[in-house]
Formats: sequence, C-alpha cells, structure tokens
Amino acid sequence: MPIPKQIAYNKAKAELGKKLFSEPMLSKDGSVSCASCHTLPGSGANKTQYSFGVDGQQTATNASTVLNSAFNFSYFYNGIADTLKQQVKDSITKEDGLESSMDEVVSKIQNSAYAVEFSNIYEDGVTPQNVVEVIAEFEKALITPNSKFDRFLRGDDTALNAQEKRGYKEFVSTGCVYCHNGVNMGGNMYQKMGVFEPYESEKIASSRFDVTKRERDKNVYKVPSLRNIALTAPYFHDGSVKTLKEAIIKMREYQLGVTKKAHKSTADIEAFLKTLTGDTPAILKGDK
Amino acid sequence: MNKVLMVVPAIIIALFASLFYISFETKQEVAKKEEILKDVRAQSYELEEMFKLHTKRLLHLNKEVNNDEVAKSFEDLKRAEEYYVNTLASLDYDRLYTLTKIIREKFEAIELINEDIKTDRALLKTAVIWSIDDYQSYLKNLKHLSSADRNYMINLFKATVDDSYSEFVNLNATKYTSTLNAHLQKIYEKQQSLIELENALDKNSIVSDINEVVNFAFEKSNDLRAELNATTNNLLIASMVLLVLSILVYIKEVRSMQDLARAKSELREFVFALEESAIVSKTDLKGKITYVNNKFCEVSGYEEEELIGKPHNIVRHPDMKASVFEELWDTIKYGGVFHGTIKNRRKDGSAYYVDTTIIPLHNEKGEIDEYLAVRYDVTKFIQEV
Repeated sequence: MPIPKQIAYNKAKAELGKKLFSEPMLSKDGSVSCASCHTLPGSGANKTQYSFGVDGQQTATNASTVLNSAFNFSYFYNGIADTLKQQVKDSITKEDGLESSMDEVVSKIQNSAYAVEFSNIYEDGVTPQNVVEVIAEFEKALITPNSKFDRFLRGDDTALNAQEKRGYKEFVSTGCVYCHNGVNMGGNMYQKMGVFEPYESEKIASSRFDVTKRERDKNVYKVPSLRNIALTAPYFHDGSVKTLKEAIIKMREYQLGVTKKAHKSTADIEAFLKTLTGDTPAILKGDK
Repeated sequence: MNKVLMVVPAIIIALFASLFYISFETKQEVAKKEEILKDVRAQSYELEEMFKLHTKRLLHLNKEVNNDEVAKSFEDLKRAEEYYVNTLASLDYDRLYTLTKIIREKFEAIELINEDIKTDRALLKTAVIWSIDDYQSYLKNLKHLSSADRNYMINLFKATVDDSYSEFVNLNATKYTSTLNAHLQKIYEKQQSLIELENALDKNSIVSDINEVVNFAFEKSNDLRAELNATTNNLLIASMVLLVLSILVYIKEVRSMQDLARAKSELREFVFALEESAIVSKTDLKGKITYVNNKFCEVSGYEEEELIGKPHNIVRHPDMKASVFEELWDTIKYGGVFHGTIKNRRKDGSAYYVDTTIIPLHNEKGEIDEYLAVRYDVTKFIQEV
C-alpha cells in the first residue's frame, strides 16, 4: 500500500501547529519543544539514542518519527494514545515529554502573539482542545509520498533496481512483512521484543504491560513504521542499534529465531529499506 | 336561563378539547420513545453486522498479510460500540444499563484479544516459514547428523503423525535441530494460544447481548403501544361517560326550563283570574302603596297615580277602630296571614266593605319585603244584612 500523494488537512490550523511544534513555550521550563527531539525538516526523529525532556532528562526510548504518524493505529511504543490528538496532549503533559499542563500552555499562548492567530481560526480562541488540534493537524500533514518503493507499487517497475527488488522479495519471504505491513509498513499492531531470545535493554522502557497489566504484554511494543527508516537511526525502541544492517540482523535473530549468519540477503533488505524514503512533506517545503 | 344552555355545551367542548389534547400529548411522547427504540434496534443490527464481520476477519487473519484493514475495521467497530453504549446508557432503563455494562466489559476483553490474535498470528506465520527452512537444511545435512539428531527427527515425525504435538515439546533438541525445535515450539505455543484466543473471542461475543437489547427494545415498543391503546381507550370511555352525563344534565335543564315556563304561564293565568275578580294591592313594609289593580281604583274611586306612594290609610274609614289595624300589623309583621272584613272609605266619602286577606311576601333570603292584600267587595251583603 503506497502512501497517498496527498492528505486532507486544514491548512490554517496546520500552519499554526507547525509554529507551535518548534515553540519551547510549550514545555514546563521553556527549554524544549516538540522539534527538539523530532527534527523537521528531516527525519522527524533525532539522532541521539534516547529522546530527552525538560532539564535535558533522558527518557528510556528513542524518539519515534512524526513523519507519516497519521497512519499509525496508536501512539507511543506502549500504544497508550489512541489518536493523534491524544498523543499531542500526552507529549505536552507527560513526564517524558514537555511536562507542562494544558492550562499552563494555554495561558502562555494567550499572552503571546499566537493568541491572535488562534482567534482568527477559532471562535473560542486559545483552548486546550484547540492547541492540541492545531499541532495534530500539522502532524497529519507530515506525509512523505513518492518513495521509490511507492512508485514501484504504483506500477513503475524501474523505480527499484535489481538488488532492491531482491531485497523486497527477501523482506517478504523472511517474514518481516508479517509485522511491518500496511501503508506505514508497521504501526498497525503490537509485538513482543525478543520472541526467541530475551531482549535486554540498558533501561526499562514502558511497554504494553504498563497499559494492560497482563503478563503476556511484558516487553511488547508497538511495531514501528519502516517508512523513512534510512533517516531515523539509531534503531529499536531503546535506540541501541546504530546501523540499518545491524538492525536487520538483530531483528532476524530475536524476532524470527534465525541465527545463521545471514549472507547477502541482509544487504539486499537494507537496499530495499532505503527505498522507503519519501518526499519531504509539502508543508515543510522551503524550510531549512 | 339561556346562560345555562350556553355554558353546558361550552363545558362539553372544553372537556373534549382537553381530552383530545391529553391523548395527543401522550401519543407524541410515545412516538418519540418509539423513535429512539427503533434507532436502538437499527444500531443493534448495524453493530452486530460489524462485529460479526470483524470477528470473521480476525479468524481469517492467516490469509492476510496487511493488518491495516483489520486495524481500521476494529477502529470503526470500536467507534460504533462506543456510540451504541452511549445511546443505550442515555435511555433510562435498568435492563439496558445492565446490558451496557456487560457489553462494555466484553468489548474491553475483545480489544485485547483483537491485538493478541494479530500478534500471535504474525509470529505463527514467521515460525512456520523458518521451521520449513530449518527442515530443508536438516535434509541437506542429513549425512552429517549424529544418531541423537536422527532420533530427534524420528520422534518429531512420530509426534506429527500421531498428532501428539504436545509431547514433542519435551523432546531434546541437539545442535543441528535446535532452531527447528525452537520454531516448532513457537508454532505449537502460538497455535495453542490462538485456539484459546479464538475461544475467548467466542466467549466474549457481544452478539447475544445485542440480541437481548433488540428484544428488550421490541418489548418496550409493544408495551408502549399497549400503554397508548389503554390510555386512548380510557380516554374514550371517559369521554363517552362525560358526554352521556352532559346530555342528561342538558336534558334535565331543558325540562326544568319547560316546567318553569309552564308554571309561569299557569301563574299568569292565576294572577289574571285574581286581578279580574279581586281588589289587589301591594304595600311596602311601612304600609305605602306600591301597586294597585284596576278593581281597586274602580271600587275606591281613586286614580292609580293618586294611590301609588301614599300610605294605605288613604282609604281608611273613620269608623274603623285603630285596634283592628294594630292586630292586622301584629299578624302580618310576623309572617301570619290576616283575614277580616274592613270598612273603607271611597274618594267621595261613601263607605264600602271588603273581605280582606293580607299575605306577607318574602324575598329570596326569607325576609318579608312587601305585603299583598286581596279583597272582595262585600258591601252588597253587609247592606242587605
């Protein structure tokens, strides 16, 4: 399933959301913004192993990209937020996020130049709901269409070279596709990290268990999207893997129980995954 | 009199209007409730369809690679379920409240089962792929295998043929067969898990609860219809009773008016007879003349104008003792009827005798407010005597 070339969103709201996205005023101490960990234009994630919050505090997870997040079925690695809006709200208020309260954010925005922009869009001006909505609307606009793979899916056979095509075949036959599928090649189900061997992380990240409190959900995380994967190193929920190649090998070992040294197929899969990088979202065009 | 004839129909019309209004209002209310119950039924069918469709999709997940569809279908189902539960909760029925709670609880379980099936199904598929790969490499390396490896494979083969997969889990894998063992174990584990999940899916099916909601909505609709019919019937009966009563009252009223009219005409005839035969006058409480008939004027020789407003003693003859009049007043003042023969004087001074009856007349409070005197000229008889 290719990413649609366009997505419907409210331009005025998204443009305002775009400004707030990189507005440090949203954090408790005014030190960080969404953009601090989600670089835009760019990967929509960041290059450090862990994302960080207020006071430079490190979290236990790597920042997921905001690109194409509208296609995910839930948000955060533990899937605690059902909707993009809920995700925005959580990111602003939670401990690993900006640690603000919505009331605080609203009153800061009310005393800023943004207040006029809000009242131009909303009759009720700056409200918690409206703040969340504009940012969610911006995130919705962050789609990266026209990747080589999408062009291939749309019928352009020349979009992938021979190695990339082999990689695609390998991606399917290895079984990667059973978790990484759909528009986002992931982001539509949960899976246990470490199926055949227990996966050890340096820090304990919040897993599905924290949401459901069920034994079977220990070490279960949302399967991340592979879209723009070449841009979003480091990899895995704990950001412990630096290269795509290593990520492929580890996935195969922990998730598929395949230990034999994987020959050239790794390079082919890697080549294929690099074809998943799409165009810069239209709303970011012209930005540096 | 005519007022009564006007008021009775007015009351009847007002009564009917209000009865009609009440029954109209009840009908409106019932119609509104019925509309909601109908909507509940429609929503029920829709949700049931969606639920069945989604369940089917989950059960056939082995044939599908793309999870977007199933994720989307569940999102839609969840939204529909939330809307449904809110609709039911907004209706003020205990039974629906209970069912809402059951559906909510089951759906929460379904939400987890839904994800678990996706998760396990994916693992099962990959484990199958790699167990085949393992098996192929076993075949390739057949000649390098130790007797322990061979034994493992033979026992595995037996377990597969005997369908005693669970026993195979206990088999000791060797170096060559360890990945095959791991994959087969995963397959076994996930198959068991999927069986449990599918059972749980079945156990938490909300179809029967939705059906109960539908039945309840049907029952309630019927109850409402019956209630409405009963109300309408009662109102109809009440209206009929009121109508009959009204007619009776009306007839009675008309009758009594007819009686009154007859009585009046009879009375008029009596008065006429009296006026023609007797000398009649009326006085107020002080004895001033307020009415005289022609006969009075004829016999007394006065004109009517000369008499009205004058004291009655204008016709008193000096021969009459004052004591007679004292007795007369004493009688009639206390409500008695006075009888007696009185000598009166005409305008020209001559005397005439009248046999007199004086009756006090009462107002509606029962107080005397005037006196009526009826007299017969008996001069002829007195003179003869």
